[in-house]
Amino acid sequence: MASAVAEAHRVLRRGGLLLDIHPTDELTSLEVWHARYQAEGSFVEAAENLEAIHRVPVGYLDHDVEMLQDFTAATDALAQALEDERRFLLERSTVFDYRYFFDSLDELTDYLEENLEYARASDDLLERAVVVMRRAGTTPKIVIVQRTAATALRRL
Amino acid sequence: MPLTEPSDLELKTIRALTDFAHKRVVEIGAGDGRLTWPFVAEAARWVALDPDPDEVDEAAKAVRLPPFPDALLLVGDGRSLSLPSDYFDIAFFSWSLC
Repeated sequence: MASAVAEAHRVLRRGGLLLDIHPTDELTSLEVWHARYQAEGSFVEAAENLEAIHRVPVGYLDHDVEMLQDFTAATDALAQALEDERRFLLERSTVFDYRYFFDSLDELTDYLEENLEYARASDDLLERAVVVMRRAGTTPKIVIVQRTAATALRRL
Repeated sequence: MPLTEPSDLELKTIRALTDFAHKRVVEIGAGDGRLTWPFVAEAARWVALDPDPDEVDEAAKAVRLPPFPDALLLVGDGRSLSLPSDYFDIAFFSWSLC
């Protein structure tokens, strides 16, 4: 990772920007969302006002430890470029939630089975999701929420 | 985890960090071009790299709809870029530094 950052520094002109998006090492959460009132189409996925969405946390996915370490290492590589090597200046950094939406438990489990190397959901977690979905007053969506960091560094 | 279509929130967050208009951009780890196509039309030049030739092929299929003459899709490794020094305005690691 440090070598990739060094290469980015090399190809950037002075004053250019390194832009990075990567997941944080926070655990990925599983939630059930539904509109507070009856809604049309993809309202829940495209909601601008989250106050109109009822979000119920269910629990956390189980991540491969090495993967979480990779996320931390990516952050460390950027920090090293800033602090130790003074190649860049921090322009701006923020975090946002990347959300994966599923219409059913089957859709979620199919996705997780195809991507077992990334994350897994315990049976207990899935059972809790079913209970929460049954209690939803409107059509629920199952949502995986992955906290993601977005950073802009100015090349010195 | 493998990503789905870019969300509005993701795109808004990226736009809040930078402006791609008339810029020379190198995107490192571009994959299937998920974060290339929302922005490539604005840039002066866009070079998208990925070490996986299959991903580059997937991204190339989208190039035709519509065509982007100033976009280059290459197989490449971010740790050793076959690109000139001091040339790009933006180096974009799109979910690839980790």
